[in-house]
Amino acid sequence: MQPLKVVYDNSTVYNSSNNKLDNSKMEIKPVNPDRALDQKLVVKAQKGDKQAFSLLVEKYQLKLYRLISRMVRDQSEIEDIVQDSFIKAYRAIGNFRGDSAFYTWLYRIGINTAKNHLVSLGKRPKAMDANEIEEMENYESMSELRVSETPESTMMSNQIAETVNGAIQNLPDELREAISYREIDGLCYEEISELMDCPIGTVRSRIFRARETIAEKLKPLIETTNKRW
Amino acid sequence: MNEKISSLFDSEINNKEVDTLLSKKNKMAGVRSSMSDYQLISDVLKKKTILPKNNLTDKIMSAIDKEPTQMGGFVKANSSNTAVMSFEILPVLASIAVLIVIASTAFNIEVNSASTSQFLAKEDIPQEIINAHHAATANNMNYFIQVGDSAK
Repeated sequence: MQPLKVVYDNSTVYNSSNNKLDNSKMEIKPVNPDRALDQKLVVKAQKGDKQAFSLLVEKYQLKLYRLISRMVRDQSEIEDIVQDSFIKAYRAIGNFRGDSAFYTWLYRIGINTAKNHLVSLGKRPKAMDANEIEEMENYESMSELRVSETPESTMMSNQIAETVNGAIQNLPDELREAISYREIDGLCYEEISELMDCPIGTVRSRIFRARETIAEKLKPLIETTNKRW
Repeated sequence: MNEKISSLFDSEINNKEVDTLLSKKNKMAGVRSSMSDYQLISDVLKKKTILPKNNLTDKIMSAIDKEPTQMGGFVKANSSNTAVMSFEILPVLASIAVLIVIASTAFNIEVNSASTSQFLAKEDIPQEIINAHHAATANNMNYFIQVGDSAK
């Protein structure tokens, strides 16, 4: 894996002994593109653009679903909580200053909505310490979905996984490599372009073509699962 | 279009492309559907538990469509949106400027008319009468207190 490209700061930097440091070696954390895009969509939503907010909903509904599933098991209850959380977020979007990441703010709303939901049912929400709350709010890569699974849903999941994996294996090498670098290794387009020695535009195109090919194979299965799930 | 959606999913899209996508309001359902497909593929590749494709976003957005449109809010002044903001507040500033001009014009007319009448009044009344009037007029509270005490 290639090292991340860093942005150098020209300001003078001193260490704890007040000695001037060579600032050309200082590594400044690059702006998180995810957060920058979210902020852009938030600003648009604050100006009344509901479509911009709908993209935030699409982006985070599943992540919020996974988060809430750690507190509530029933799928329909989780859906209600996720929906309520987004409505609350929309109503309060004007107050979002961007001091934290949008998803951190949204997850906090989600956790509070879930807690209130449990209290309204006479259940005591699981007490969480500050670390646990922070972990939940920042745990972007949460993979576990703690909902009750039926034999049918398990079978469907397996079929989808087999289809995706099969489609990946049949992709041309350059498409398979590009999508793997992105989805499995989590590299950004620039890093992939360096690794594959091609322009960023080509990376972008390869990832898109890989996704479209896989999605095409999934289409009949998704249509069936939507009817049966 | 779809390539832009794929880039949007990866947050590898520039501001202009976001604007282009959002401007095609009648195609937003398609945008969300593609993003949902990409999410499913991503979950499989990352070995996450798969959640069936749902219409939760549609449900949420139909609920949000019933909400009043949110306007205003905190927009951080940075290099990218300062220009936009200044253009947005120009009409407001122009309205305020017009109001100030109207108000100050009206105020000046009143002040001028008042000062003119005072000037004319001073001209008509002889100075000794004005002095006598000032001497006979109560100019502090002691006068009224004395009147109150004498009444007892």
